[in-house]
Amino acid sequence: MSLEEKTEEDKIEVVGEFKHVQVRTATIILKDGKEISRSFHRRVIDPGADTSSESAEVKGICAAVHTETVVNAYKAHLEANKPGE
Amino acid sequence: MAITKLNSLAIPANTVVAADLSYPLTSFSSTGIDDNATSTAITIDSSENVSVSPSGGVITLGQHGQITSKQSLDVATAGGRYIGSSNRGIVGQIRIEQTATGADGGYVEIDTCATGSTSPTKRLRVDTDGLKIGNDTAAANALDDYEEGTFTPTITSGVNSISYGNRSGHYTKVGNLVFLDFYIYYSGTGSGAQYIVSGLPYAQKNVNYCRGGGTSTYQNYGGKVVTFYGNQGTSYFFCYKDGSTSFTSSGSVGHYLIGTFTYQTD
Repeated sequence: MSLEEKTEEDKIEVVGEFKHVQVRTATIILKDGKEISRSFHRRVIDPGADTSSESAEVKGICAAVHTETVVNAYKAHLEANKPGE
Repeated sequence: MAITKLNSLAIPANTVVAADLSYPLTSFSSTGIDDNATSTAITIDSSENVSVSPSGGVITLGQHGQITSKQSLDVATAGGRYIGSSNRGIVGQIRIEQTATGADGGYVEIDTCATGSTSPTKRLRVDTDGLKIGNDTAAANALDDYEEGTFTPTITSGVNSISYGNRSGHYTKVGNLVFLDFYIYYSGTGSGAQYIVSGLPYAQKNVNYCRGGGTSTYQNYGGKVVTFYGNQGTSYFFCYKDGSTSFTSSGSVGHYLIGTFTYQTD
């Protein structure tokens, strides 16, 4: 019997006006090559966020959708939606 | 022809002795599937209705077996139904039918009869929008997602040189509603700025005045419940105390911030 664990970014979504990139990482447990367990961890990459530690695929998507226009629009959005407003 | 073998009536094999037949064969019976069969597990009547009544009440299909119900007319009800009945009438049905006339795609609907009724009423429907309950047809009301998982809560404002002893976050998403349960134990130096917790698993819905909210369930800053206030179109929330006062700290801190936060996503 062999047990193996592997992780993969099994879902990458671009959502909303500000093109937030939602990344789901699946941790998969395999027993003799057959999947017996799968669990998820999620994170969101905001426009303009540092992507240096991301996978090449996520970097590429962020580079494509987080254009200067989108990043500036997101900054303006944050400024306009400060707490209490 | 040489006779090589005789049966019990001393008639050569393959020999016709007499033939006086008329159709239908009223005195004929078989174990096959026909009007005169003695085996009635499967019967076909004169209207070509097929009845399947296995003695054990079980129909078994072989490996990769499937049942296809097809209505050749291109109408909204094309597809098929499984109807459960008693001797009093219909008790419920499962409909697998075409979504609309002349369109690809379909839905599955579960109907049951109320007590005292033999008229099925729609209870559940599954279509491309998701799961709809009762008679609801609104796409927005369809349950289209459920997911559980973890995220990493991160204090991105309020503490300098932060280091985490323990931190974990769990989420459950039902439809567009996200429920978070998180635990942070950290050390650092309070910056005096308002605390912001980032790392949400989904971006918050970007609709005006859609904020989400939550509270601390345990913290050791002393006496004050910390409240959490979301921000539309972002992946973080702000921390407050006493209603609208920003939650801050100064000096060295080694604290817990544990709580829940609920918000909507797209």
